[in-house]
Amino acid sequence: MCHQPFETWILDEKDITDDERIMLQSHLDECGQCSKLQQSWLSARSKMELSQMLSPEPGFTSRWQDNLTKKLQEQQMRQVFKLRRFFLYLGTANVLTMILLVSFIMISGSPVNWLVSTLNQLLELTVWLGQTQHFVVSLIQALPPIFPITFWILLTSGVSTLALIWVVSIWKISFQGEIIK
Amino acid sequence: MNNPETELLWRLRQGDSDAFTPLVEMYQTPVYNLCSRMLGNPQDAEDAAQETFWRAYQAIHRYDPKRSFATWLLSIAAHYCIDQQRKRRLTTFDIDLLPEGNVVDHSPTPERVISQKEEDQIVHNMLSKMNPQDRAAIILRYWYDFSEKEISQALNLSNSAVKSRLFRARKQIAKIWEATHLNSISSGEKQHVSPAF
Repeated sequence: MCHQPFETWILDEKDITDDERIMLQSHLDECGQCSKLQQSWLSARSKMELSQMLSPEPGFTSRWQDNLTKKLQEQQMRQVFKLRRFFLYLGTANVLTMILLVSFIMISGSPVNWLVSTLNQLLELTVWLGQTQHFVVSLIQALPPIFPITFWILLTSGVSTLALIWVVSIWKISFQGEIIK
Repeated sequence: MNNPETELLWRLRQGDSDAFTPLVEMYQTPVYNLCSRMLGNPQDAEDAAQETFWRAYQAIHRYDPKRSFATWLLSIAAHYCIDQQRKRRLTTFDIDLLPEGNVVDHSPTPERVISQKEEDQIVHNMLSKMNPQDRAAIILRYWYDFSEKEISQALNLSNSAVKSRLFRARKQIAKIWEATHLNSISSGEKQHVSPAF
């Protein structure tokens, strides 16, 4: 015996037309399998719909708050460790690079020649810095006095202060684990 | 802004993280119920419910206000429980999970030897025999009255996939119910059959 579309009508929970309802009833009168299917499904569905909502043990919200505090602390510590690990890797990379550089210099040439060459470069750098300073001073003196010198002093002080605050914040986050709010 | 939930969600979007705790208070039972029905164990359900709220807390900035918060939250719970089920591939059921107050007093008859609590156990056993996604669809449909569209949103399935899952799950439930009641009635009859027969 063919059980479709009767199984679909029984289980689909969609509205069926009057003709379909008559056909279904006629089939149920003859088909024990579909009749049992319908009875079983209706009983099971009724049972599910009457089942109560299960509630957690009292104090769920308090436990949630405790868990939240703990998880946020763990998250913060993970961030601190990541930052420390980053600086550690950076520092290690720098040290290794310096060691490699010095080793290369020691191997490739005479240390004395390297020292003389380095001193020459430092001297050239000093000369260049002096020339740059002379150029900047000349430029400032050539500019019309739009802003008073006080303004420039205040601007420079402000930028320096912000830079200092930034450095201190990074230091506190990385080594002391504080988050500045 | 009359709805307290709407106000709490608005405050959360403004950065007031303290507004999440009242939402936990409001939704602890629906979330716990879903986790319980999915996992079958009170401790696992508690852990899953706590994890659900933690995940929702972290992802609150991604919540779309146009969508129902209940659907979004239960979606997180359902996905977490489905993942847990797949990891475990085994459902344990604790009979103490069943609420004591749900016992209905019927006059005992030879045909009704199964108590209410045992019938509730049958419901849980039926759920435990389904695959996790079918189970989630059935729970959302019959405990939360979700439409097929809401179930498809919650479980990230197409409407047709939800329809076919629900159909398959209903058929499975009906077969298990029929088999269980036939077995129970048969064993009940055997217990009550007089030696004279």
